Amino acid sequence: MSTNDSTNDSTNTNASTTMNTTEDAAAAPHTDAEHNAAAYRLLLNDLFAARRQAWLGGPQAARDKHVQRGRLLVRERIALLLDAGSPFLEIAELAGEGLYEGVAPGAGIVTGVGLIQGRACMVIANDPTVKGGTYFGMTCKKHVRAQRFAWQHRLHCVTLVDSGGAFLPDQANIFPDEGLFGSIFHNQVGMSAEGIAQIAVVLGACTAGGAYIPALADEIVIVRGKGFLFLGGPPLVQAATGEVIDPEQLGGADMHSRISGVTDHVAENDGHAIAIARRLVGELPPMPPALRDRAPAREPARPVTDIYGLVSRDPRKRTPMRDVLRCLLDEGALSEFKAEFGDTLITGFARIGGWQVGVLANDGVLFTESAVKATHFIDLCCKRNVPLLFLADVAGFMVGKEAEQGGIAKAGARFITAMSSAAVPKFTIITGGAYGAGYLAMCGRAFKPNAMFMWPNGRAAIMGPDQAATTLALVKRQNLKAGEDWSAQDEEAFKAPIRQQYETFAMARNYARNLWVDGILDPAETRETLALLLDLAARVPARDTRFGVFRM
Amino acid sequence: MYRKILIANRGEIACRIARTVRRMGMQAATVHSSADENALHVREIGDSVLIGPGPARQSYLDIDAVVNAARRVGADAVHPGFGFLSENAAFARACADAGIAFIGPAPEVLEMFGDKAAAKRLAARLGIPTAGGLDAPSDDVDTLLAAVAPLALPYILKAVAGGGGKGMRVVRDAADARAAIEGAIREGRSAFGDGRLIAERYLSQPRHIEVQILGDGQGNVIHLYDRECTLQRRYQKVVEEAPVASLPQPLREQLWAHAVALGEDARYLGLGTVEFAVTGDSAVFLEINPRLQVEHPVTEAVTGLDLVALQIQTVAGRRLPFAQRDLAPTRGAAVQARLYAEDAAQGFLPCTGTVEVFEAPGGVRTDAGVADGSTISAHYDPMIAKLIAHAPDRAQALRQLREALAQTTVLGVTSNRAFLLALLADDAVQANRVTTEFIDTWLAARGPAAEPAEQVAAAMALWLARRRALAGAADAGAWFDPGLTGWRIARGAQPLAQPLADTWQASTASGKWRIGFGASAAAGVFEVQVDGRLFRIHAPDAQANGWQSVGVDGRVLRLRARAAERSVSALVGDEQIALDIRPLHAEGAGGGAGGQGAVRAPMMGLVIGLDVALGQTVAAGQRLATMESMKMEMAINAPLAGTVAWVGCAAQARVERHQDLFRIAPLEGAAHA
Repeated sequence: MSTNDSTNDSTNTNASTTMNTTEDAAAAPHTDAEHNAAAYRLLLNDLFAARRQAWLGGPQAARDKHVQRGRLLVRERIALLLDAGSPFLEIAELAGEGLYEGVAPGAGIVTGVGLIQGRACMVIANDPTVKGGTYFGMTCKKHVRAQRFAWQHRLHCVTLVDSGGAFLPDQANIFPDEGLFGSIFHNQVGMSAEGIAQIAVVLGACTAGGAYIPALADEIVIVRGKGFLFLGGPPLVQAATGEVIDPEQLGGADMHSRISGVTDHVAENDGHAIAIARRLVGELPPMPPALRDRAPAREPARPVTDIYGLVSRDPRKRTPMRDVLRCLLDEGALSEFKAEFGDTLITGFARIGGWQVGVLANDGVLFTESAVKATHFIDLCCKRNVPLLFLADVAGFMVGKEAEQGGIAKAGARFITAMSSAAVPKFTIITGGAYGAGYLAMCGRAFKPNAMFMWPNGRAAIMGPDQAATTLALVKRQNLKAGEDWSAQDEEAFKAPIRQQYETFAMARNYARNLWVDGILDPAETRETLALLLDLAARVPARDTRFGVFRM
Repeated sequence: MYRKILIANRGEIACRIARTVRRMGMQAATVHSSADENALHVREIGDSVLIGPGPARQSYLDIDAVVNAARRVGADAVHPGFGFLSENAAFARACADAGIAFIGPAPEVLEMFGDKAAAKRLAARLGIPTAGGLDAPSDDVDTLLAAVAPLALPYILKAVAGGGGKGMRVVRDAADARAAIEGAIREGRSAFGDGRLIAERYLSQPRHIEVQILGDGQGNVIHLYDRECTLQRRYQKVVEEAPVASLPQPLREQLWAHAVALGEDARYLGLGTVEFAVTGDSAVFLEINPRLQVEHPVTEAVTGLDLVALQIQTVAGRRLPFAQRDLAPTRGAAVQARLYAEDAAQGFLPCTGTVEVFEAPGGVRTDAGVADGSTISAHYDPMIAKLIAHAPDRAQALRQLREALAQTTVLGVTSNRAFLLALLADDAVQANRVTTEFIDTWLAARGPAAEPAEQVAAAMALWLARRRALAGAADAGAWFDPGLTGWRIARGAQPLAQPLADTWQASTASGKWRIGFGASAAAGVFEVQVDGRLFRIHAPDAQANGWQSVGVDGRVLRLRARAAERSVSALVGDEQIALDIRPLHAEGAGGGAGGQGAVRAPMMGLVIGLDVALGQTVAAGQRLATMESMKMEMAINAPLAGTVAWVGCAAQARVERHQDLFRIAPLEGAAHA
């Protein structure tokens, strides 16, 4: 694989280049939809370029060296671990992009869900070609996020450990807080206690904290001559006690399997180890049955790729959400609830990949009526155990005298109470701009949706760039001394960097990089992603919803 | 006539005899070994006695057990079929002693014809030409070596009690004599309990022609015309026909006369076959088979007679049912093909296992010994069925037979179907310009059988992968959707070619492919990478069991497949292909990718000799062990030069098909040799 990487990469680049050229040549955009689609292509090309970077992992030299040592690359390991033809739902593919010098998107770890022996499992795999597989702050966050996803969906975890441990200079983002390295252990223990299997495969050296990741697993496979596990490596031992010892004796496969009993299964190489791990998964209970009915999956009424032409290239112009839904839902069919009331929020029952969902999709700013309707609809879904799908494209809640007098704060609070309390599976996709309390009410990250993705055009922030610049300019103007002059030109010079800053912050890539969302989806892969997610959620026993106090 | 006949046999012939017995108004019963408890003959005949464990020596060849079985079911006659005890004089005597009729000649006649040397002496006395040679049988290697020394090369060694090619060796070089003698003695002992051999001149390029006779035991014998069984492989008949095409009438009549003369002199009772080797216009006597023959249906077809009925009637009544002059001339031509569970690509190794599907078309006579779910065990002859076509002329019969074979389905075990189809289509076979050596020459000229093309491997691997995934699923949710095969967050409207990792290895005995699975590109279209080549396959429905069309890069193949634990066997057009499919890094392999040093047992059997020890250096092709299975010996050879890194078998150990026997670590620097 490594020898092909560059070839494949360049092929891909060529392919997309060719495609663009062809399209440019074939038809310069005329209609609005064509202009939108052309703009969307650029966003997708950016996304795909980042993904290619993520798949490659470490630099060419590191990958070559790794392969020359007779070891498999992380994505080869995962391919071997999964059943032939299994889907792989990758989580946080682009986490850490651009955050650390010389670290490819992905933060040196690959996480995702795939089938192993017919059982959906969470796979967490270090990429040793990325800075030796060491843990940066984002690596910790990603590992923990994958575990939380696994825990929530009761997925067995197979961890392919090949990591040099913590990246010491980033200790503030690794060590002290909740949600960092220590939480990895806490989650392992908690899942194990609940019968969610933790299987670790030691494919490289695991030192210090890194040693506890396998050590806290239910079962450990170790590769002879390649996998090592010790609390202190040979240099540290020598420094501490003066004892000179080689790694094999200190923490090799034979030592741990024959003497210490730390490891349970010895493998001869990476492939063998993964084969053993597959056998261990085969001994686990089978995948639980789906607890929700699934109808036959149907194609949408309009091709999903029509979304490219529907998403407005100008943030100031609205994207027609009803048309988008026709491209996303099975048969484009929405059994709409309160179509005539609070129509800036579309609510209704639909199916995606055959699974029923309760859809809440923005079609304008949120009014009191929209919020009331949302509350009612969420209650319905909770009573019927129907998962919620939030499609967020909202500037926020309506402001102004009329809105406040109408009690929009109260209505918004009810919406948030209902959304936050709902114990049914929740999924959020930011399909456009999601700002302020609108972002939050549409099940933002803080409300722990089962999964949250963004489309490449998606944006999210406390407020939009124009609003932010205008607001801050107003504040500044109010603070002007009497008689002081602020020319329109100066004001614009003040606003431009603010606008720029907010724009950059709000971008999908920034959200994905910081793991504020689980990834960026090409709209055309949204249906498949949701079908797989809904399937996983359908196998988790339902919980009753208990709502917080509704302010009436 | 008799009241109840015990059929002391199994498989298709037991079923076939039972049909006639019932039609004649008698009851039928049979016997079985513990390996045959669910065999077709047991089920079809419905009254069967367990006579011992799987090995024939302890069951179908156990005289006391069979005679006791006859007593138990209240049979007053025993039909021995062919093979097993059919030519066993001691058995015929035991039956007589028990007051049970033996449907065959008298014990003395069996003794004489069961002894190739004695039969040859009789023929010589009657002035019938023979192949000469050594006619004083012996089972002493040195005695035989001395006796064969003066013989002209090439000569042939034959087990005195032999048949079906077992215990036979052609010696073309005096230096090979000792090994050949030893091997033939061993095989004779193993197959017939008699290691004595004779030797005779080896006739080059003969045709095999035989005459069917029927005698009343009083010296009256008639013939039922002739058959040709020239298409043989290792003395095993493959295709048989009646009447013999292209035989000068005087020679034909002379052979009839020889056959009748032998029968009359022996006061022959019942059905028998007199075999001749014919070269040009001359013939020599080979032997007499004092029993029903496998190929009797072709004579039945052209005479319109039921040979088994005639045999029973004649033996019971000691009277010929009609005179020679009342026998009608033959009508048309009949050709029979023997469908075996054997792998033509692997030197016709018998294939054991479960016959998942056996379906033969109408329009030809099918004498089958198996049904869906039957087991082909290593204990017995791996015959599946005989297909017999009868038509106004030979060309039409051949055409019918090919058509029938083309429509025959055998899944679960590899069959020789494709080989038969190719053989029957050959011009020389069509024109009947063949000799007993034809098949060997034809096979050599044809080269190794075509391997399944990569695209077939791809389709089959995909089929098995889907099947397994579905089998593992509690309920087939979205994760098992065909449309989501290999799906990644990377496959939107512009699927990105993610490099595929090979994950499986598919292999036949001689070929090996690395398989990687990609994503489904569109609904029902899958990407499968075979040795780095990407195929787009239009979904085979893994849950369907019948024939289905599979599109592979635009080419549509007709495929019918069955999955076992680790393999999938499929019919793709005329070819049957069985692929072993396992993870590329199989857990047991330990040695990792390729595992090219692994030596596996080609079939279930017994290790009769271990030639190497752990750590020993071996050359490529060097014999590591000798196995015996289905009464045949085979050498297990080193696939490459190296050292024996692991030994997984012992002498006298039973091994399973595909069991790892050895691992050879390649010599440093010789890995690419």
